[in-house]
Amino acid sequence: MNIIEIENLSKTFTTTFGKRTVKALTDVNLSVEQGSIFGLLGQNGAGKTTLIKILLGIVYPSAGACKMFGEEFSHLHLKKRIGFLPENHKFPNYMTGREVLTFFGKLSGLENLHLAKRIDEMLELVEMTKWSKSKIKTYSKGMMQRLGLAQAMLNNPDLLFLDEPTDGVDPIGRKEIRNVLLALKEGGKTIFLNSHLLSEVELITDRVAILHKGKIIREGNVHDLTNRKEEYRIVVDALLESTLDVSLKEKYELRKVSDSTYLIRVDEQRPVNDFVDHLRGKGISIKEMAQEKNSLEDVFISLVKAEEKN
Amino acid sequence: MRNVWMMTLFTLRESISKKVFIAFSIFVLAMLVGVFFAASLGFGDMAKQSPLGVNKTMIMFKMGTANFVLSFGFLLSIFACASFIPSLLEKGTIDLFLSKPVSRAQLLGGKYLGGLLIFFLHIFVLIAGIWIIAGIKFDHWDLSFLPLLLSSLFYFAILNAVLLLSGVVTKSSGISMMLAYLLMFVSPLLAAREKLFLFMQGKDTLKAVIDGIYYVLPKLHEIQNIPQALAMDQGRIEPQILLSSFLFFLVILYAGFYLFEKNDY
Repeated sequence: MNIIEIENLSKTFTTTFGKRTVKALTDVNLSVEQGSIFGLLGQNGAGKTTLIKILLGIVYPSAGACKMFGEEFSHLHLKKRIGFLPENHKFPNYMTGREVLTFFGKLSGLENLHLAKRIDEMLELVEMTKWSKSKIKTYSKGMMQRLGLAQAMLNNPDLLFLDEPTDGVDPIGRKEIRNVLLALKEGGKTIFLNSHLLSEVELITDRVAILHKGKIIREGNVHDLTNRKEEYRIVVDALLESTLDVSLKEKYELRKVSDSTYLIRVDEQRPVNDFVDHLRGKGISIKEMAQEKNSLEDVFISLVKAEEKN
Repeated sequence: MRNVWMMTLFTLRESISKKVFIAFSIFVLAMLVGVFFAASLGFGDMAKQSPLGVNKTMIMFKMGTANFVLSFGFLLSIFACASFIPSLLEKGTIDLFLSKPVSRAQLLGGKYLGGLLIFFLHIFVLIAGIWIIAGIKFDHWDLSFLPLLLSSLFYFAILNAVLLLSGVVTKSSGISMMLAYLLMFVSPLLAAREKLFLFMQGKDTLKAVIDGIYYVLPKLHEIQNIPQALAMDQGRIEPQILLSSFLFFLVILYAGFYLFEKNDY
């Protein structure tokens, strides 16, 4: 079941006197499956935050339709099932962490009795319990992010929007946040993630969409996007360049990476099984074999560059 | 209603944290101490000899003192409340608020009422304080002084609506303050426009423009003087003063809520 469905969504910002217009989003179509982690990637100004803000009713769309939980997205009551961590959020700096959570918890509709218990749980989860009575103005960026995450999760939302959640967080903290997000996913929650940190997105997301100048240029399963299906890396105990026939080497476009590591290209006309059979026929032992993968960063950069050329 | 009340309390807390609330409270207390000493300067004996009579002289003393102190109170209130809307609209703050199951009208309404509450708490103490001081010092407990509380509240409700609209449009507390102060200072001039017209012989177009401005803008000066006029039986109150001011208040407040509802953040 799709928890978010976006159809032909467009947003054009107009300056006060209508002299200049900026197309932030153009005909965006997207769906996010319940219980998944979805990553929205894009350069600065690609329209990622605008998309999240539209879904949250902070920005109004110029055209198109959005549904969340199967309902028209603008229904206020849906926000009870949503959590949001904005980028560069600002909490009132005169409040303590606990006071911030109490205030926003009440604003989310949580009742006092349940709220106190929930705040304790969330503070513990983001490891902020010992700082909960300190004023926000004394917090570091990383602590602010942790508190922001606690705030977003306070109402036990079914759908969590996170805009750069690990921004300013140290590597250990990032891993902890990743673990929290994975645990939430295990619990059936859906997470919509905006991030520049592609290596992190790659680690936790199920699907991603790449947004470029307001348009979705690629959407898909992370595994499918990063697999370079036509290339295999093979580690063997022999020197293939002298062992194999020239025709076979040419057919599979054999390339040496290091002493015992080679790359081959495969497709329907040159199946990987035939190559393996050939090696085994020659008595060569295969130590390791894996499909070559692109990092999400590689995919992202190549797609964006290709789009720029077009 | 719960959300509006939460936002109202949040605004109160914001004001306390910015020390503006405390500064306002200190001002009110200092003024009351000043009034207490002024009332100890033998004014009671002077009132007995006044040709207006003790009652009217006492009312004039209280009204005059309260209006003098209130004019500073309005200036301070504008200063205290001008930042409430711009601070809500700051990037990183408004996103948090709008992502909650709270309507935009509730958010803005709570902020507006928070400003009114801060004003009311102080002005109530100030007016009630002057009334009690005069009561104790001169044994004068005339209730005709107390409508000043209502007129002051209406006066500030209009200014606060201007702060709200300006805050939504400009997101600047500085500009909001300037507009509210301008409205305050222009009002007595417009009220005295008939006297100004004596110096504008033959400039009928300019006179018509000034007249037009007078009827469009709220009659703050007249509103502040209504309780005194009522207490002193100084003629009847023109309904247009209240009606046109109330209409201005409604239009400005509606425009503020409408724009906040329609804007992208």
